[in-house]
Amino acid sequence: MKKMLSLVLALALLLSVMALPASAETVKEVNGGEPCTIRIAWWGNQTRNDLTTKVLDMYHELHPNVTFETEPTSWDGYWDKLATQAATSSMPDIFQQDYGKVGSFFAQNLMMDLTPYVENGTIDTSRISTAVLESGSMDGKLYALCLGLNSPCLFYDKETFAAAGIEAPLQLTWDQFFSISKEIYEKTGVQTYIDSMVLGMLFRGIGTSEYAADGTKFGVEDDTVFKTYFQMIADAAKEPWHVSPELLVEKNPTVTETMPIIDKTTWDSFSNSNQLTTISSTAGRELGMMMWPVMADDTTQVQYLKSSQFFCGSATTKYPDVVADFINFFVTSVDANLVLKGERGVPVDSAVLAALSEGLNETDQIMYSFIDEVNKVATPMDRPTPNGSTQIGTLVEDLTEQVRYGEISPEDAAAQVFAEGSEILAENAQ
Amino acid sequence: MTAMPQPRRAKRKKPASLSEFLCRESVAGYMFISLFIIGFLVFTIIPMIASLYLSFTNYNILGDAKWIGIANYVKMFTRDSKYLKSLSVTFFYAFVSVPLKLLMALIVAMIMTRQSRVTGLYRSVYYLPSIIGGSVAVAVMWKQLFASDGVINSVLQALSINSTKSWIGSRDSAIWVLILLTVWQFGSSMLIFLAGLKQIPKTYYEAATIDGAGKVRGFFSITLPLLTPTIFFNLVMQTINGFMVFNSGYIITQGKPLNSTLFYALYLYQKAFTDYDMGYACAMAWVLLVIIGLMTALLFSSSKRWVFYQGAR
Amino acid sequence: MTHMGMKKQRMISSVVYHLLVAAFGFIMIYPLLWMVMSSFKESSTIFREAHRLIPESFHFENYTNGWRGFGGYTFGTFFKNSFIISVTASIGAVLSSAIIAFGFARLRFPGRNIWFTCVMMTMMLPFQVVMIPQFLIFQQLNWINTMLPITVPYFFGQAFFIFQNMQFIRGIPMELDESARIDGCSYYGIFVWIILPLIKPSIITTSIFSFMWRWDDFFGALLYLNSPSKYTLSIALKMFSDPSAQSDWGAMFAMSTLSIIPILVIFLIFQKNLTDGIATEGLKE
Repeated sequence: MKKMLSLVLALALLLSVMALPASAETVKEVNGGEPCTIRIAWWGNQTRNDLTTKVLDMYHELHPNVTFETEPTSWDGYWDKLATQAATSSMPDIFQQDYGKVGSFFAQNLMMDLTPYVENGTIDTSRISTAVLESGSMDGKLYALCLGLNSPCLFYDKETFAAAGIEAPLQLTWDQFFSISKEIYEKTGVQTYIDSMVLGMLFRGIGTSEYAADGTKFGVEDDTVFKTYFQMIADAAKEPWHVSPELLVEKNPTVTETMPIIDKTTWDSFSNSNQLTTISSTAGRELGMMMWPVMADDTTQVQYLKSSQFFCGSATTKYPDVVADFINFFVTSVDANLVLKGERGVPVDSAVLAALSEGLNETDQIMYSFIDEVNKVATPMDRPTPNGSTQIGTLVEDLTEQVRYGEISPEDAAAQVFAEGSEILAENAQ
Repeated sequence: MTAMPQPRRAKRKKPASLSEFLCRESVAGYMFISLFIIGFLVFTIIPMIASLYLSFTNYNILGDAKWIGIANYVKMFTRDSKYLKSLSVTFFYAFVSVPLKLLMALIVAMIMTRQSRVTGLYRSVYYLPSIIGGSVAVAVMWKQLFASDGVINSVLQALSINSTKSWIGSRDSAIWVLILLTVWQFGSSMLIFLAGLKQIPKTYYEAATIDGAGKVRGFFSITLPLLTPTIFFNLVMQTINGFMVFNSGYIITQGKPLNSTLFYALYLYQKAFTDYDMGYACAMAWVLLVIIGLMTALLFSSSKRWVFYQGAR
Repeated sequence: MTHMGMKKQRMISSVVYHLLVAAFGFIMIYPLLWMVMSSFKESSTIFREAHRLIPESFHFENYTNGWRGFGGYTFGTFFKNSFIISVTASIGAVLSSAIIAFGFARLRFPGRNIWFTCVMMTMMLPFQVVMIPQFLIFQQLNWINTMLPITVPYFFGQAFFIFQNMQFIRGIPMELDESARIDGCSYYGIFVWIILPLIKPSIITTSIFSFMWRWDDFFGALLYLNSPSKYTLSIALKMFSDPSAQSDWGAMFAMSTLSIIPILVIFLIFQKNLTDGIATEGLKE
C-alpha cells in the first residue's frame, strides 16, 4: 500500500491527459436476468442521498432487471432501525456499515461472506490494497468493502499558529505538543483539547493494538498504557491551557458545529481527515492538518489509513450475486465514482482515485495530499474492534470525564478500565 | 377506582332479547372497553410478556437470548454504580420538576381565564414551547442560553452579579437546566387545566357571588375542589412522564456532566442500542415499571382523601 | 372610591396584566423566534451567530434547499404523509379513548379494576423494550412499510386520553345519567347524548395533543416506514443533521419552521372552543 497512493496521484495527471476512453466496463447479466428487488440502506445527508440515488439509477440502467428499494435515514436512528431489523430477520440486502460496528455484526453472523465473489471475480479487488481489504475482514474472510479512506489527524487553527508565531510541523511529539499548547495559551489565550481518541494511538505507538487478535482480551497484559493515558488527561486538565470540563459540555466536541476549535476556544481538534471540508466550512476558515503526536520513545509510527465506512451484504439476502456485483460497481466503477465524487472518503480503487484526482477543489487537494503524506509512513490499520468495544469506549469516556473533574485518580481509572474491560471482553467471547 | 358510583341492582331477569342483554350494566361496560381489550391483547400483551422474559436472559439484540435467571437484576443493584446514579437522578428530577410544572401550569391557566380579545393569542404563545419541545432547535438554543458566555450570564452581569458559571457544564446545576426546560413546557398541563376550568358550571360562581364570597375565597372553595380531578390527572400523568423522561437528556446533555443528567430511560436506551444489551435493558424497564406502578398506586390511594368528583354520590 | 377612580384602577390593572403576560410570553417564545430567525441565516453562520436573534441579512435559500427533500421526494410528500397519518391516528385515538373512558368511568362490571390497571401499565414500559416484539407482530401481519402500524393501534384507545376523559366524565354529576335513564335512555344513549357533548373541552384537548404527538412521532415512523416516498416530516427533518458529514442546519430550521405551522393552525382552530370563558354552556340544574 505504501507509496502506491503517491504514485497513483502522480499518474493521475498523466492519465487525465491521455483522455480516458469511454469506460468499456463489460456489463454482465446478474440474477440470470430475472427481475429482483434489492433493499439498500445507508445513513447520510441530502448530498449523499442525491449522489447515491443517482448511482442506483445508473446501475438500474445497466441491469434493468434490478430495482432498488432505498432506505436512507439519518445517523440518528440508523442503528436502532438496523438492530431491530437484524433482530427480526428483515435486514436490507445491502447496508452501510461503520468501522466500530463490524465486530458486533460479525459476532452474530449478520453479514454475507464476500470472499467467494472476490474469488470468482465478481468483485474486482486487484486495484485495492490488502490493508484496506483487511479492515473489512474477519477470520480471513471479507465481509465489508471499504467505501472511502480516511486518516486520523490533528486539525489545528492556522490563524492561531500565525498569531503565536509558531511553525506547525507535520507531526509533533507529545512533549512538543504540551509545550506548544502552553506557548499558544500564553501568547494568544487560545486553549487546547485532548480527548480519548489519543488512547488508541498510544497502543499503536508501542506496536500493539487495544484489543488482542481474537478480541477476547486487551492487547496488553497490564494497565500501563491506560495509566499513561489517564495521567496525560489529568496533567492536561490541571493546566490553565487546557479547556475546562464544564466548557466541554457546552461545546460538545462530537458535534461539528459546537467543536471548540470552531470558535477558537481551542487551537486543536483530534479528528479524521475526511472532516476537513465540514469543519473548515463550518468554521469559515481553512484549518491545517497534522499527523497525531507521538511519544518520544515510540517504536512504531502511529499514523494509519482507515476505512471511513463500508458496504455489507446481509447474510440472509436472496440475491448474493447481485449484492456482490453492485458493491463491486459502487466501489470500482469509474463512472459511478465520478458521480459520487469521493463524498464517502478518498476512493480505495487506484483507477478510480486516478480518475477523481483531477478537478479537485482546494480543500480536497489539501486532504488528498495529507492522505498521500500519511501513506508514505502509515503502518497497517487495526483490526475491526471486537464485540463489546463500544461498552469499553463508553467506560473510557466516563472515566476520562471523571479524571478531568478530579473525581478519580488516573491510577484508579486505569485499573478500573482494565478490570471491567477485561470482564466485558471475556463475557462477550463466550 | 376511587369514589365510583354505587352499584345499581342489575336486573336478574333472563335476557328477553339481545338489546336487553346489551343493556345490562356489566355487558355494556365490556362493550365500551372492548376496543381497549382487543388492542391490548393483539398489540401490547405479547410484547410486554416478551420483554419480561427477555429480562431474565442475556440478549444481545443482534443475536439469540440466553437464559441467565435473575443475574441482570442482581447486577443492577450490586455492581452497576451508573445504574444507581441514573436512578437517583431520575427520582430527583421527577420530584422537583413535576410539582413545579403543575404549579406553573395552574397559575398560568388561572391567569388565562381572564377575558380579553387577545386571550387566544396569549394561550398560543404560552402553549408554543410545548409544540417545539423535542426539536433540535430547542436543544441548541437551551444550551446556548445556559452556557458560560450565554444569555443568562449576560443578564446576570447586567444586574451586576458577576457570573461566568457554566450552568450546563457544572454537575450541580446541569440537572436544573433540564428541570427548567420541563417547567417551561407546561403548555399541555395548562391546556388540561383550562378544559377543567371550563367544565366548572358558572352557576356555582354566581351563587358564591350572591353569598358575598370574594375571588380568593371563590378559588379555594369552588375552583380548587372542583378542579381536583384535573389536578389528580395531571399529577399522575406528569409523574409517569417524569420517571420516563428521555428526550432532554438525550438531545441536550447526553447524560453529562459526570452522569448528573443520566436519566433512567436514557441509560436504558444506551444499554439497549449502544451496548446491544437488550436483556439488561428489559430488566431495567421492568424495575422502572414497578417503581412507576408503586408511585401511581400511592397517588390513587391518596386520591380518596382529596379528589372530589361531582359524579359521585 | 369614586366611580372614576374605580374605572381608572381597573384600567391600570388591565395594563399591568397585559404588560406582564406579554413580557413573560416573549420569554416563553424566545427559542421559537430564534429558530424562525435562524432559518433565515446563512447555514454556516447559525452557530457562530447563536447569540444574535435577528440575522444580519435575510436568506431564503434554506427554504428552497430544504424543500428539495431526499431521494427525489420533496417536503410536499413528507407533509402529505405526516398529515394523513396524524389525522387518521388522531381520529381513532380521540373517539376510541372517549368510548373506552365512559365504560371505565360510569359502568361497574367485574374485572374493571384489573383492566384499568392494564390501561395504566401500557404507559409505564419504555417503548424501546417492547419495540422488537411489536415489530415481529406487525411483520406477521405483513404491515411493514405501510402506515398501518403507526395508525391502527390508536383505534384501540390511548391510555393518556382514556384516563383524561375518565376524569372529565367523573366530574359530571350522576343526576344527569339518572334522569336520562328514567327517561328510558340506554347506556349507549347516555354516552352519545349526555356525556359526549359535556366532555367537549376534554375531546378538544385530546385532539390537539393527539395530532401534535403523531405529527412529532419519530421512532414509530422510522421503524415501520422504509421507502422515502412514505417518509414523514419527523424522519426527513432528522436527515439534515449528520455527525459524520456536514449538517444543513439552515435547511433543518427552515423545514422545522414550516413543520410547526400545521400544529399551530390546529391549535388556533381548536383552542377557540376553550376561550369563551368558564362554562358558558355549563349544566342547567
